Amino acid sequence: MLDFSHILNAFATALSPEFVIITIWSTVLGIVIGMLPGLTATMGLALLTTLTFQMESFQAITALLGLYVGAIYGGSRTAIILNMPGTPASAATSLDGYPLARQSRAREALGLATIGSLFGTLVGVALLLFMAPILADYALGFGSYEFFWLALFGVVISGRLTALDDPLKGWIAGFLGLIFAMIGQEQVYSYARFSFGVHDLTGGVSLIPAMVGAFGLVEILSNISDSKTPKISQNKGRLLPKAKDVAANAGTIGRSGIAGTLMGLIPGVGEDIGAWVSYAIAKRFSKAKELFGKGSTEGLIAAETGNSAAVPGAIIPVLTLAIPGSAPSAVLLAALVIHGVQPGPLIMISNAEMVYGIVAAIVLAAIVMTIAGVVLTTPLLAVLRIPRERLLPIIFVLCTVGAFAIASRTFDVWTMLGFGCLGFILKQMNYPMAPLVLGLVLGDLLDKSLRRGLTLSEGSLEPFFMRPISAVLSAAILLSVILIILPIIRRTTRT
Amino acid sequence: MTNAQLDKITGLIFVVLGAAVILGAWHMPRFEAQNAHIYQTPGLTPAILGAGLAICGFILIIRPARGNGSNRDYWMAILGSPKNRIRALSAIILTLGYGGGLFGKVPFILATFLFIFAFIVTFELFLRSNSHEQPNKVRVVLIAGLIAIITSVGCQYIFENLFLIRLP
Repeated sequence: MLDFSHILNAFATALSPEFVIITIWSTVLGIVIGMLPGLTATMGLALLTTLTFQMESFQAITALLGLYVGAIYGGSRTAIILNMPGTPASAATSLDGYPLARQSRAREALGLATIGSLFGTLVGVALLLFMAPILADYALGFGSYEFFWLALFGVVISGRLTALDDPLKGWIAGFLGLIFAMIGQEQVYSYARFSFGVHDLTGGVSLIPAMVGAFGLVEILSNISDSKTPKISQNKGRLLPKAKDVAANAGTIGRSGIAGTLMGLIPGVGEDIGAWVSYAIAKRFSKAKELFGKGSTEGLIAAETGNSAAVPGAIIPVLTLAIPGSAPSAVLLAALVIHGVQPGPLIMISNAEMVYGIVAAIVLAAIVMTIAGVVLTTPLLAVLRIPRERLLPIIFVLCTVGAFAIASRTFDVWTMLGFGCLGFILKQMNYPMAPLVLGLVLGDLLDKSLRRGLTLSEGSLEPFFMRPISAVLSAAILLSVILIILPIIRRTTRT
Repeated sequence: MTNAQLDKITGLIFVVLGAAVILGAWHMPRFEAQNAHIYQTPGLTPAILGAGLAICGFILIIRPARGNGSNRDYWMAILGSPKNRIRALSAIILTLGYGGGLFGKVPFILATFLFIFAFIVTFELFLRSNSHEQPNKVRVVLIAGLIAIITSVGCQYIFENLFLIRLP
């Protein structure tokens, strides 16, 4: 049941001057981070987690949510102007956004993307508000068996969908993440696994430095290695779309909002897939399919609505199951734990105010994002003119200090460098980073749930396959694996 | 080297890594003295994950070349042009030099100043992007120095005074 007094209180807090100021700076910062090719929402969140470490918990979470909403939206700016998605979530946006910019309709495209993002976020938030209590209530019945499969499901599905061309590589990245998560003391006997006598490894691989490396350093190295500099399109015309244009796309917005949220909700899938699925649905329903890819406003709105709706969608499993819906939300999950919030099925009982506070913070961030998108688009685009040769070393200094700041350990800086170099090598060979990070986040849950489940069943595997949710999840995982592996085996035996 | 060949080599690395994880898991204590069952031992999950990685690596080795298998585009963005190669190598040396060498061993302000100054000068003067005009050397050095001073002093001030984090 929704508690309206909690919701009103949450909005009252979100509208207090200090929270409004935090939301404004964090959302604008998010837009800038999202805009800059090479800086992703995940990297921004990981970095801001380290920088807001000392803030009061809800203030820090508000700042992180502002940055998350802003960064996913900000990626559309460069996708439209440069044909270079600022974040991977905006890849679908560039399909129609850039052709529109080439037709001298850049400002119209920027405005439509802004409106799409606003409505996408609002649809996502509405679904979060209604689905989170239901899912949390349902998840109260989950045991170790279900959590084991959920953790595995997140990694397998993330591996499958973030490496559509080669899911095997997505799974390898996921396994690597899960294996890295095994380093350090386990929870049953406090035995330090794979620590090789190194004291710093007994505590395990620190999540945030690893994420800063996997997303921050990797992008810095990839970006600076390329000697080509992108060209900026002309940016003239009307920015705010006409109400009738928005109304004409109401169906697309509704469908994309729901599709994006549902994609965000699936563990490990996230904003990128949210945008692509919404785009595909919009194309299927469109009366002007031939315009898709050549400057369709419907396609642009669908992609932007979809990726923005996936943000609240990805937060639903974070809050109710402690399982991230996407790579940026994995950082958010880590940040919530750092700030003393315990996500999971009990959250609606123990900390419902936090859920409603997060809803209010996202709504406020969406409003700030829209205003900033309309008012500040032209000045913000000036950021793109800052040479990356000057910007990237400053960002690397922040990555280094951020990794160090969490526990004041130089070892965490080495962790960041190690994951950055590993990620850089893997990225060149098309291994996705998201499953690696999800594996790192979910490894502990997987280990704990497997061993606890086996202990409860006295070694029997039956409950892992026979309980209803476990049966569905295990079947989905097996099906996903078989559908990929079987054709490979067939081709191998044929040759 | 073609993409397919690189995939086979990395597949082999993952098989070896997976086997090493299984071996490490096998040698972990089983706490039998505390009446622990095999499914409670710390090595159980790592062994399963190691096996999973090894199997995936093995499939990577044996699978037939894919559509892009005969291409050589995996490292193309970096190794495709001599300039990109040098830029990537320089970026790795500079970032590892700062994060792994200077940071923590040299006072923060000096380390950060040296890194930012060297980074900007290297990439704007010696390894500049294709689109950049012939740079004014004095201007680049002055800008690099200014950004390096502002960043190093600014970071030190913000982190130590606002976030109360003592930098090395």
